[in-house]
Amino acid sequence: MVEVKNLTKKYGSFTAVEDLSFTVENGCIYGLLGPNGAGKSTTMNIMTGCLASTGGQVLIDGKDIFEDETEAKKKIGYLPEIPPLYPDMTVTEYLRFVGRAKGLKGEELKNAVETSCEKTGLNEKKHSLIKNLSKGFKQRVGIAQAIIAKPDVVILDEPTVGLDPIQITEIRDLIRELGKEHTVIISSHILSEISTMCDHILIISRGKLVASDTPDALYEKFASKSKLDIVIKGGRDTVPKILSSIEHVKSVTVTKNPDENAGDKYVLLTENGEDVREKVFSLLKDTDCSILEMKLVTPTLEDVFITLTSEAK
Amino acid sequence: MNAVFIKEIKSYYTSITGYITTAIMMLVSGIYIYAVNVEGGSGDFSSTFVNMAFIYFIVLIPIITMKMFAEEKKQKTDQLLYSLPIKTSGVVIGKFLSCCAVTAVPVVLMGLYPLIFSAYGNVNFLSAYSALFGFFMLGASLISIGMFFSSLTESQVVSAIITLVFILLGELLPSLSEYISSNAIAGAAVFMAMGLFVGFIVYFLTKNTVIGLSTAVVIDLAIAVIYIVKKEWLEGLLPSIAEKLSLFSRFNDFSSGVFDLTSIFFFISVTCVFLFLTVQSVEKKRWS
Repeated sequence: MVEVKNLTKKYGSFTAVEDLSFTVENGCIYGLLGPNGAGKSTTMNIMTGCLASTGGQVLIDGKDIFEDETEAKKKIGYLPEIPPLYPDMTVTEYLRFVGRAKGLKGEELKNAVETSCEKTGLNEKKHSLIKNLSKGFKQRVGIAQAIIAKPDVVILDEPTVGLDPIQITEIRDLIRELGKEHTVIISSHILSEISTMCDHILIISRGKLVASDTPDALYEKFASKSKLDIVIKGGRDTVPKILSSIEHVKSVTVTKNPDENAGDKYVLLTENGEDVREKVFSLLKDTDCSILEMKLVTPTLEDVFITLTSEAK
Repeated sequence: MNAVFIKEIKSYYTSITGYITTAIMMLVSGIYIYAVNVEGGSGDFSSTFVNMAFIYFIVLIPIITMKMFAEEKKQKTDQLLYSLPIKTSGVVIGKFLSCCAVTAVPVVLMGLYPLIFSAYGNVNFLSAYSALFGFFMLGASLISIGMFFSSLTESQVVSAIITLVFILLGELLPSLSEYISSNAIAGAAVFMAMGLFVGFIVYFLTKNTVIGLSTAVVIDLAIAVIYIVKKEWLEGLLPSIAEKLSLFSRFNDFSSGVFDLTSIFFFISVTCVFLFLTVQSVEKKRWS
């Protein structure tokens, strides 16, 4: 279990992370989501002890990452944004180095290298020099390095950035596999990636946590207001009144078209995702105005993300 | 620490640098041994080692220390080292020991010369091997200095050049300082300049103008006070300090065949100080 308490990081007068608190439970995949520069990497660097915080605390299984450095770091595997690889080493040499540094020895070390190569699909590249590997394979070596000592928590910083679509799918499958044995925390600025992989989403914006929930709950919470776009010809005086009188309609905005025959555009926001299309139709069919266009727009998780991260401004 | 040590040794000997530098070191020592001991028909190895020390280390030390931290920073692999369950001191000591081991290979091979020569004449083993030991300790302290410079920069070239200049100054300073007027005012001026330099280093490490500036001001004020109150202290102080602080002139004492314990202690102190500074400089990045 990872606990982040009131984490703050300041670079001079610039605050990268501000009073961030969250708890990561065992056995789930967590997604840290935020636009570029939101403080995702900074948070991850602090969580793994690569960076000191200005204030606050990070506990890995109750062990403070700074006070109890060695013990806490044994419980985590970390893949930074740029995989920390030594180009002149072979994959096996590199993994043996990391394994040894994490306290594995002899037979145990050999087996750990075998299994992590197996899990990340590196078997055929085991004896290649890292500098000769493609970007996707380098990323795999980075992940293999993070999981070699079977840590409780695996932290991956933007693991799919810069990969081609096939590699992205492969890495995503790999991360899903990892989620079965480890607690995984990944970061990304791509929402679709996080929502397909993660059990829990943490949205960060400007160093602050703006939302933390499961993808479904987030959707329920923030995307339930559906929007109705209607284009109506005629009835400029009466239509807005009729529309706002409908039950569940929260607001009506009108954009008048200079050409009256082309119809005016109305945007209706409704509560709880209520569908009011039929009501609109039955109320307007007896008037002399005609509906030219009617479209129900359901906000996506993407819209939620954009709303949340721009609200924090 | 073990893991870092093994990794560094491996990376040194899986690339060609390890073999080339060892070969160059053997060539340098071979030329000196041939010139002094074979041509000169001398069984005194201590002075040979003392004579070759400067050329030997000015080539070897920058090569083996330059990549130690500069390369890690450049490749962003320092993040891996920070996230591994090893203390920074462990990383620094592991790297330091690997450099020592790499230096020990040609030094041990050089230790064969007195044995070979003893088959053909009288060799003073005690003085030869005590000088060789001093030679190695001098190397160790230079390694710690080179590693410190490597930890300050991201560029291997910059690290190598600074180390080279530092070693060069260490060799030349005692003789250069004799040319500088030994009167008090010149001494005060040089010390004040050094105070400014120390202040700059402090500023570079802390990125804090106030601390850097106040360090320089405190040192310079102290020197000014000494100059006003006890002028005679500063007379001839510079050459004698340069002499005392120069690693190479410390090592010169070994040429007479004396096993100089104070010099060994001095080398160990320098090594400890620079290893400590290296740890601080590496740790600093985490606290930026």
